[in-house]
Amino acid sequence: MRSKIALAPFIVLAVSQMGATDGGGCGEGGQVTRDPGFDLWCGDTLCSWKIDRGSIAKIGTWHADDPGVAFLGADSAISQVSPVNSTDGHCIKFQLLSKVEGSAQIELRVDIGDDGTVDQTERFPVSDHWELLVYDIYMNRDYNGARFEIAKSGNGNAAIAQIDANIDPGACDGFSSALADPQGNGTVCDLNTQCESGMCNGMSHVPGLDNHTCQGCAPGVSGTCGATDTCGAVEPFSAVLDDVIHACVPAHSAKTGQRCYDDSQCANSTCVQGVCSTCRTAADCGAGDTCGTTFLYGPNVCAYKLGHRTTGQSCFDNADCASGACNGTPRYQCDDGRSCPGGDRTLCPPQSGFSLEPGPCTEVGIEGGTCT
Amino acid sequence: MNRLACSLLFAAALALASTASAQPAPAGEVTTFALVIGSNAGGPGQATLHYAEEDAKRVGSLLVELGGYAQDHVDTVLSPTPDELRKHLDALAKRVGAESAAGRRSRVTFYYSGHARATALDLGSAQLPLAELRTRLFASTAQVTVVVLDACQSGAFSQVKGGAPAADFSYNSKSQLDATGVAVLASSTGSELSQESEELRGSYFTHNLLTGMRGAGDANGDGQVSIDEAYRYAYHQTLLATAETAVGGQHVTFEVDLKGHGEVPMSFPRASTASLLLPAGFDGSTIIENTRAKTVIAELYKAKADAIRIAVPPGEYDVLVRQGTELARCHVMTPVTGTATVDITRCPREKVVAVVTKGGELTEEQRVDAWTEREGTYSGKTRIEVALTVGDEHHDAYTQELTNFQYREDSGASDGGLLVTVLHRLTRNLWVGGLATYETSQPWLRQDQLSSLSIRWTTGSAMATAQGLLPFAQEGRLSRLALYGDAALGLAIARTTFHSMTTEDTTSREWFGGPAFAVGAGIKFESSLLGGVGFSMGYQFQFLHAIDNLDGDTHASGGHRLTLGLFYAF
Repeated sequence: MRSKIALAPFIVLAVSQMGATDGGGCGEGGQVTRDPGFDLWCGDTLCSWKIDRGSIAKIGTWHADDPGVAFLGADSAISQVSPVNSTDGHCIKFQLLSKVEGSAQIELRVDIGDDGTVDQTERFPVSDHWELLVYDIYMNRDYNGARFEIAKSGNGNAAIAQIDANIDPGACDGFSSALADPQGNGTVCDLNTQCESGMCNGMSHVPGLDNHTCQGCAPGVSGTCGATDTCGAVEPFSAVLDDVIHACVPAHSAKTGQRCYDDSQCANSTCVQGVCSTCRTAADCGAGDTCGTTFLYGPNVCAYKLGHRTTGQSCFDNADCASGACNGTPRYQCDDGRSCPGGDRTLCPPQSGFSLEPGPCTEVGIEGGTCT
Repeated sequence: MNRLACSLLFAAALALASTASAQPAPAGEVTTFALVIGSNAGGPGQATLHYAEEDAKRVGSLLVELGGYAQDHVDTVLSPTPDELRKHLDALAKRVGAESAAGRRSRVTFYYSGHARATALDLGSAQLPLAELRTRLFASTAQVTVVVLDACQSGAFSQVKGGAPAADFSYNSKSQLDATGVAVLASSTGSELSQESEELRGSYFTHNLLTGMRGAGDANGDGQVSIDEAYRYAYHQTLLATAETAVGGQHVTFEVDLKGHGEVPMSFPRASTASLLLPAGFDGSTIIENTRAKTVIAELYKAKADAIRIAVPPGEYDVLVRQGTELARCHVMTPVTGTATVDITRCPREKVVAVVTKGGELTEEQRVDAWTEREGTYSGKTRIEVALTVGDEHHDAYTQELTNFQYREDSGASDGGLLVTVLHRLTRNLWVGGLATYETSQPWLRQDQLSSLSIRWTTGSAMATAQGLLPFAQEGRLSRLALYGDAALGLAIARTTFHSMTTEDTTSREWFGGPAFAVGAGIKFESSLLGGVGFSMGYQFQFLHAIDNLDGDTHASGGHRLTLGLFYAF
């Protein structure tokens, strides 16, 4: 006998509201992955894991109704970025259940700081049954966040049923040391030598972490970038990277609504409070129009949503234009102002330091828009 | 003792009786001699007797105490070898011969209690041929030889003899004056087992014989008990005492070949200085037991209208009066000279006697019936028991797989269930029947912030079972307590319920089946107040091998269980 009640709408609502209540996620001894049992499926895909490559399928494990993940094709991978950091602990114990044919390879890859470089790889042994695997990884210095990827290659069948990752409150005895230097921009550091750029000079903005972050350049210091570049503020491409990253970028390339360090970074040479804007004061706008802020971490624009902007004038919202049409790229932002292109909320940090769930990603306007 | 052996033994006795020459009775006193033999040990295939030697001691003592035998004229021999018995027989013949040579008459009593085979007495691992025994006793020049044999199937000697057994009460000693010859008293007929009594700590026959000799058999009140009176008394009382036992009534037989006149006295209770008086006004089977020695002095049936005086040595006695299924126990003290009267109205009451055979074996059914009659506890033919079970679930590869998948057993409580057992008694200690179990497991849970999965199972089983039951004591309060052990084998069914609350709320159920077994042990208590109702407490290990997972692991549900039960026997 079997009965089903559709809960998808409730789960989606719960996920969207989970941040403040998802306690215990990264506490001492706590779980650092979301949906470690691959129980949450949104259709044919996982709700809390990102499919990086290839495709996956839902399969039964020890019980038909306790699902696992089968990796399809010769190259497939799923991943999840965890906001775990060194305030939670330095020792992570992984317990995985996998079933791997000899003609397939499947491995756990840990990218500490999610800077794009894999710091630890564990290959799963071949097994014709659900084999329990235990990996102990020691983060040998302070860090913020990690990306866990499970990647499969080869034509054989491979599946995983669990990836239980917990902070181990112990002394990490016997744990494998991970966190290879150097790290990319936006990661936590204490020494210049820990950064690919050789510059560990920015204060970390991660709550609780009294560290610096690796930076690509020193803003305001001449000579750190090329002649056509400027040391500007760039968008972090991961939820766990610091939201203030400086790197050499082409001068005057940032559009309205995007981050900037100074005027030299913005296409219209107007950087107001770290955001490329269309105006600084009312004098920059037409007669009778005001120059004001749009929202927290938003740009300054003229006559925001007043429909005063005419064809060819800059805009940030369709309502800015008399025509009602502002042509440009939709901008999605996390609560801390960083971009989350395409509405990908996995790029947003959790709203709470105790939550594993990403914060919301909201469409806020139109980058570099022009009224049509 | 087997029947053939008993028959031959008494054939020898008959030969003695029929061939002994009756000697003329010279004038003057009669000198008495006795050779009393007791042997508990049995030969190959024979059970060891419990009280044959004790009976011999009592007979020897009573002959001195009340029989008029001089202390040194009673030769009591326990567990003799054949050679030792030969020496004693030679010595007896020599002394009787000396008496005859001196012109004095003599009377010999030969008493034997023990095992015998077809052609010989069993004396431990060796034997004394019956023909040799006959020859030695025939050589005696005693005027009267009384042979008393306490063994099973005594009546067989008549069949061997080829004549009819002596009719009950057909022998009238009054007509026999100055008797000479041989008399044989045997404890039972040719088709009966002779019985020993745990309560009497002796055989029924010997004890009744001794009781009669103590005065209960003095029918004419002349202060002496003749062999005729002794026989009559022993016959009645042995039959009465054994009529309600599992073995059944035991008939004492009497064969004589006596000539002349006069009675053959067996004892002179009037000569005793101390006695117990069982006054008129109550009836029942009565046992007089020496309190300190814990030996039974007399056993008799006390008629309500009669007053009976029993000669006893001065001392303390327990007088046990069985009335129906109850036994009144009276404690009395006899003076050095005088009579103590027993007043049973002031006596506490107990249960009745246990029974074993003398040299023979009861059938198991007889044992059960006897025990049932005696104990009352654990005696129902059928017992129904309902028990609650509680204990932690058995862990195996299946539960390890659950653990690997991050399911955690609810640690807040143990599994609990119900156990129903129906048993039928096969023997006193062995019961067989069936049992059924029902149990629901605690859930195994895997929960995180967004999902909750759980599984639990309900199991049931039906098994055939055998249970051994061993009471702490044969009687008394402790007999109500018993140790038990059981084993069961059968089939189990199980139903799992898997509940998944993730993006959907689903519940799935599956059924499984498999073998089951259980073993257990514990203690039972059957109440004396509630009539067949009792309680049990124990341990059981259940193994219900039924629940499969997709990985090929099968869970054996159950495990270590404490059981607390209530039963009813009927």
